[in-house]
Amino acid sequence: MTDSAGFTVRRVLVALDASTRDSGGIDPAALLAARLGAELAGLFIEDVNVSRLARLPAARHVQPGTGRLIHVDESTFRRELDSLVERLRARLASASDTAGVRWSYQIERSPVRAALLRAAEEADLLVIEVATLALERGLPREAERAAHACPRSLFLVQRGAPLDAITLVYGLTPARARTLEAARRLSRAGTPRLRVLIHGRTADELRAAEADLRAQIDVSEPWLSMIPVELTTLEQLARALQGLDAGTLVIGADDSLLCGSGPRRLFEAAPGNVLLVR
Amino acid sequence: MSEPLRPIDPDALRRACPATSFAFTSTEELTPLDASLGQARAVEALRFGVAMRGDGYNIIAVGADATGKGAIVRELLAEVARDRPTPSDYCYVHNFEDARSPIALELPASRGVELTRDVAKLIEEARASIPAVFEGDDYRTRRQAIDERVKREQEQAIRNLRTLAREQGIAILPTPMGIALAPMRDGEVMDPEEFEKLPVAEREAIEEKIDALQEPMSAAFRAMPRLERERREQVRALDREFTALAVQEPIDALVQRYATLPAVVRHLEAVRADIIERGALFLAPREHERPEEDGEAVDGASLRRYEVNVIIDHSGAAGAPVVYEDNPTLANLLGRVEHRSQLGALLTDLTLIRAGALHRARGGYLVLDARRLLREPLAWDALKRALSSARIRIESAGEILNLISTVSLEPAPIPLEIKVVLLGDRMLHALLDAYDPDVDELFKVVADFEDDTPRGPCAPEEFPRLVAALARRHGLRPFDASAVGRLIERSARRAGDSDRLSTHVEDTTDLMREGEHFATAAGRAVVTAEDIIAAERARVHRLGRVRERLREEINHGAILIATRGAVVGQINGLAVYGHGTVAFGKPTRITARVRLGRGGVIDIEREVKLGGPLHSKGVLILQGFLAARYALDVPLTLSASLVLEQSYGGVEGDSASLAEACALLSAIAELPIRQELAVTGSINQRGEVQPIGGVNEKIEGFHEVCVDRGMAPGQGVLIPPSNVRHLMLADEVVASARAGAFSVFTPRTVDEALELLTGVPAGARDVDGRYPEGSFNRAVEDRLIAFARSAAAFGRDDAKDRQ
Repeated sequence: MTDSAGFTVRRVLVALDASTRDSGGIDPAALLAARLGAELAGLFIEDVNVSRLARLPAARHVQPGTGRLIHVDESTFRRELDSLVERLRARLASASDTAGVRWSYQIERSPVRAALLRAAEEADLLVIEVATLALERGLPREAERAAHACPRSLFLVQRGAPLDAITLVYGLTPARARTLEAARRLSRAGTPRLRVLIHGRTADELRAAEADLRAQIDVSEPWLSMIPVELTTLEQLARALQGLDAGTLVIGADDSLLCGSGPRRLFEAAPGNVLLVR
Repeated sequence: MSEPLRPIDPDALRRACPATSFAFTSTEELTPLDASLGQARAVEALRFGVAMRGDGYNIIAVGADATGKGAIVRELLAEVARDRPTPSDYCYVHNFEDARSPIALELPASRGVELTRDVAKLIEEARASIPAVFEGDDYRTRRQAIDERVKREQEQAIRNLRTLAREQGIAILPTPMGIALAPMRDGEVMDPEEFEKLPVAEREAIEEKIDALQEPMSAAFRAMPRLERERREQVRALDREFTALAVQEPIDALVQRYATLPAVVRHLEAVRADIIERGALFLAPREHERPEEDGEAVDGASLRRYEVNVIIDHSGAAGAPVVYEDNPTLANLLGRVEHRSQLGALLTDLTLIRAGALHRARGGYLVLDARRLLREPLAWDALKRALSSARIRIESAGEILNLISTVSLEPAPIPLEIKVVLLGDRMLHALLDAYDPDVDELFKVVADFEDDTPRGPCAPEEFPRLVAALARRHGLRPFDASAVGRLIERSARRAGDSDRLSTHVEDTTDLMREGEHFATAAGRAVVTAEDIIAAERARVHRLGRVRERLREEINHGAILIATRGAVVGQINGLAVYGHGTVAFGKPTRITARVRLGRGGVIDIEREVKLGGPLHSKGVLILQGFLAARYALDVPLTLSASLVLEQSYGGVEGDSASLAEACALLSAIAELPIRQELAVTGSINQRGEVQPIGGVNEKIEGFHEVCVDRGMAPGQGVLIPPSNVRHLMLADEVVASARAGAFSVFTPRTVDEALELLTGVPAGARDVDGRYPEGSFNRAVEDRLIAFARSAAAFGRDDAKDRQ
């Protein structure tokens, strides 16, 4: 039984905050919006904790490089924050124009998690760059929580990872048709190439998955390649991906490989960007 | 009057070489001459120069063009080079310590190409084996372990800080300005108003807690770059380890293969070290590996750095090389570093180093045309520098002249052991010798090629064998004895001496080819004298336009030449005209006019600057002769003018001085000169006749005019006696002489010439110092004395008038 609904995305939302550096996922989000025919919304979350911090006389900044603590100057802090907000707006406008998509930009002052969840409700696809919302490497805690709770598809962007190859993880899951459709639309008729990593827990399941795929898509297309592989765990998937130039990984949120593992584990396993299709 | 001068024997007019003088019928019967004709001295010098070891024993071969010196040099060098050892190959390879100065590697002959192939194969293997080890599980696992370890350490440091801060009730947050610390309450950053309401002591305590985080914070942040650096170093060490593993076996095999060549082994070890250091080069996609695509500059890092450029390759060669560079430009001699244009920039690398003639001829012989070499800017100096330093250093004109200061390659100089042979003419050699002090040091051996060689007997032995050799070499049909005889006569004529043969082999070869052409046309299998004569006539006709036009002008009377009768103060001189390779003779009327005066002899040619210095010298000698011979006790009160009539170009040489003397004396003596005779010869102040050049052409020129006008009795030419041996006159002249219609006389003195020309005895002074009455000289002297008396009378009248 497959989910016959198509992968329709009208609004892509890219979440940004005070920790955002460079494009903060804006560029891949704009590209994604263009490929999916969606509009792009930028959401800058001004965390209340960060706003409070600027007014606290006890707050200290850590000087980059030396780690020295210095007093926080509220006016400087506000100026830097406003400047960042404006920079990101300009970047969003520029990337959207280049990609040819409509865009909007919004600033929300609230705790991050609540803001993310609200935003995810309003969007069909939430884009978060890993460096954003982060202090540590890997998927940030707030993003992880949002990803868990987010009812929509989620695109996790590794800083600097391009959208130059698409690898679809295809198994006999209820949402496989949507996932396949998402991958095809990202691949835009073969540019970039679409690689399908067909998996099953057994040889029979693998054959069935392959037959299922053949029923849905013309596998003789030159831009399409198939790699059947027996997999049962996310770790096995991680190893299988290591030998490939996997690029952006497209996987259904209901894929059996994700059972018992959160987005953090998936993100650690994937070498590049991850589109988690819901 | 002394014994009348007799014409010379017609047999002396042309030293013939009839077919009957040979013992063969055709050149097919002869053993071809394997040596050069008449160049024994030059060949000996060449052999000496080639055999001599030591600095500066290069050779300069001098001689006229077309003497075959180039062919002789090449043949001799080829013969010598066969027995000499084949020199080493040389390759340029990357200098891993200084990319701008590629290293020159010496290898035994033919091993240069072998090394190129081996290194190319090594790189090809490395392109497969290095990515393979990097994609292998072993590498990935260890690389992941390094990344994970560092990542874990970094995260642990942050986590520790967070834990430490959280324990103190402090939050760590990312902000636009970086990371910040702030007091927390209930998991959120404390409200500022709430903080203000806290007792001072509590606020201070919070601030102290935050400040206390300074040290661990600083320590953690200082550790971050170190951790990243350590990670990079560990990854690099891992990369090196796996790269070394990937290339160990093929490089070890090459090192073993070239174990006897330490320089090559050193280079291979340098390649190994570089590959290990730059293993990432081998991970690049293949389509981006060529420098022309990735825009690599001189010191860039691409796989091209490992290539071997065989600049000197003697694969399959036997013996030493003999190289003839016919376009000896600076670059063609020294080699060059080429560039490729890319996006407006000029890029180069060691594979673009090109060999020059010096490279190719290294260990052997290089033949250069001196004139071409000297015409090429900077080439001569470059050659001298290379020979002096015994090294080939590739330099461009831009570098030598300091016109270019951009970064380029400076390939290491290659040791030069070479024998250079310069081909030039004598004038060029003389100029070089005079103006370039290096020539004597660098070209110590001069091979002087003869223009001609003694003919020896009437039918020399070697010349027919030379004809046989030339016929065989150029694929010509055989020549019979009559043709060979004719060629010998032609060669003697070319030499301008009946007793010598020209060494201008090319001229002989050309005539043989042209003779064969006529033999073919006549359907003859063997070339005969008839064919050679036809070829000679065709050549004369082809080149005879100017000659024919002048002949017509004389026949139409536009150019005044008398061949009959007798005229006072007028004589037929003889001149040779030359343009290009053509030379022919033509009579020229010379006239003299005299009157009382003190002007002496005026040479009109000199006055109008048409006379060259040698011609003027001849006229001045004539004046000396005149002044010292006649009217010794009275002043010379004579104004005379001499001119070569209808001569509108320059006149050079003193060969007309005998004719001028006769014309002048005829004018003074008022005794007519026979116009059926023409005169050539120079004189000295004693009135003795001396030899001149172009005697054959001059005689033939006058004979031609006489024939055109219908031969008349008594016609002939007066020539110096010492020119008789140069006579190789045309058949027509010889035939006229045999028929008694044309004579060649050889007066030894002016007196003998005058007697023949005027029919009046010249006369010698008697015991009283007077010339006999009725003699030519008496007439001259009487006229001069008369002039002197008239002048004295004029002088007295003039003095009276003044009183």
